[in-house]
Amino acid sequence: MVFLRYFTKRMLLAAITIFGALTLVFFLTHVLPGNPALVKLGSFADKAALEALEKEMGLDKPLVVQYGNYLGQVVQGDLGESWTTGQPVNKDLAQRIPATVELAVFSLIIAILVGIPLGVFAALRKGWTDRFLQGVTILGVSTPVFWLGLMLIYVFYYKFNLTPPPTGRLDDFTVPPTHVTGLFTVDSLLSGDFIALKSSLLQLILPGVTLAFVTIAPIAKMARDSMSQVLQADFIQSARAMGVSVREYVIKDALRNALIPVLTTLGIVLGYLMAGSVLIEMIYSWPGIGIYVWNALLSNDFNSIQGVVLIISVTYVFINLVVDLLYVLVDPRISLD
Amino acid sequence: MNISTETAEVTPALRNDKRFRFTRLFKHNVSLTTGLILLIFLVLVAILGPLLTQHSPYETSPGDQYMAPSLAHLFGTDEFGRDIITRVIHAARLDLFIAVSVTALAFVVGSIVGSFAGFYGGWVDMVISRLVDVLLSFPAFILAMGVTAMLGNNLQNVIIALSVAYMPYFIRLTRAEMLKLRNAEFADAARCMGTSKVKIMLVHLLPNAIGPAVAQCTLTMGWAILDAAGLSFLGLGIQAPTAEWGVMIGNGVRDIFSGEWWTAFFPGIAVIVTVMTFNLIAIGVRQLKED
Repeated sequence: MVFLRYFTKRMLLAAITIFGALTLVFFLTHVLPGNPALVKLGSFADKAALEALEKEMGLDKPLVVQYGNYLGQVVQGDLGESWTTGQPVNKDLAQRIPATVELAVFSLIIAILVGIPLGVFAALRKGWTDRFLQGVTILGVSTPVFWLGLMLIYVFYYKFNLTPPPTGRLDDFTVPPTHVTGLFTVDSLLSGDFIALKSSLLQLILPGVTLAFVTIAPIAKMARDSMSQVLQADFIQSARAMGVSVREYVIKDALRNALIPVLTTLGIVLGYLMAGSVLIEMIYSWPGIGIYVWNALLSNDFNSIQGVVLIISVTYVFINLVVDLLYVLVDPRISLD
Repeated sequence: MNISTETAEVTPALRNDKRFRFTRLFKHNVSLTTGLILLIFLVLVAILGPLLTQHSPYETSPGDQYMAPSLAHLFGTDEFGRDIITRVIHAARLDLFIAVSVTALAFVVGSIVGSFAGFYGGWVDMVISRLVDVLLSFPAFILAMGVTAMLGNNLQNVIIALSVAYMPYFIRLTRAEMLKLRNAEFADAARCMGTSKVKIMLVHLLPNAIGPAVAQCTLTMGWAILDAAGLSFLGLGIQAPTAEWGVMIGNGVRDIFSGEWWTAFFPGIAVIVTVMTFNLIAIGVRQLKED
């Protein structure tokens, strides 16, 4: 019952936040200087043509009316038409979101596989291992992802030719697998298309590693901190005193308890992933929502900008919500007030 | 970012033994000392560096295009034959200026707004807190991209955009402190003396509430350097041909595919060293408080 009340409260807050984000971005795009009709026609456009286009785009109406119309559309699940691609924003996003998600998930897997063992190891062995981890962590949060991406391209593509050219999700000669989920690796597995699978995995490696480098740091640090805390807990101390072997208490008791706080970090990490993905997508010509929103921003494509912000905000709020709820479910001692 | 609640304080052990303060501090807190030494170095480079370089950051030299790093050009030259080390040094001034202004703006406005939210509570707090939630519901960098794209790409707007993006953190930290402090006895005492509410908040409580926000500043400096470089890299911040680290890395993108790695490499190293400096100081300060 308490949980239900907590759940409703959080859902309500989440809805307010998303609505606020949408409203904020709507007024930000519409009030600040920058006329999309002018961008579309070019700066030498004839005045009558400009006014006609503004009318067609609905920009001549009062702002409040435009806002009302837009909200009405969004509620029905229609994000309007993109002025740069000429397609519905829904369709654009449906094409691009899987690319961003595939990259984010891939790099998150790498980061977890490297970060958690690194953190646990550092907590167990202190001393130099710990120093090393601290160094890696500081380096990780201090490195610009786009620079790292460029350097990896130089070393692995230009110098040693180990990876394919950074031209997107597949190399030029590979046909995309049959569309099921939109994730090329999953789709090609489902349809047994191993050529596409190989190509998409190869294309994922560099951007995935680049993005993972930034996220390994917070994951490893959280794993380390929470692991060293758990190792000092009474129940571990007594297990050690009773002669339980290191391997046994680490794997059975300590790790399980230490992983709970790591969960929250994943929520924060997702933010890194999405912010970093704009820069990474630019470097690797990855056709995700990062490049899309960049293009939209440069050409004042309001509907696309609003669409992307809505999607990002929903994902962000939703993931944080899920993490918080999981946290409460996993650890019953957490108070719900 | 979990920053503890008190202002930086020298540990008791160190305080008792003033004579050996610095040597002991150095041995005790490697992050802080390394960070501070690097900071002094960076500030010196930013102030004196431009006076020492032989070239001008904008001086093109058609005969010297794409020279690999050598004694004549330590970091090599770019597509116009400009000397890269000169440009990297000149950029230090601009990038540090951006970081300081962004942090100062976010800190000042953020802690005042946060104080109002925490002190007054009620609907003031509700409106401010929801706004903070909204701003935090998408990544700071994307927010900054949007603001610069809308306002136009120049130095002033980059500073505004980034400080808006980081402000929520300062608001949250100060608000939380203010909530704890507003019923403190000394605030009650001031209230009994008939001091006005605003004065109690700004004069009596705020100085005691900004500790965590001050600690947040060093981290924010690092973020500002990284994100300013990112914005310029995307063409949404400082514009070429200005000597700025992000612009220089952006210019170097094409060169990577023809093998001239140095045009992007060195400005990137400058970013890493600078951001690392601030992160080391942030870690050092936290360690001071933990001891």
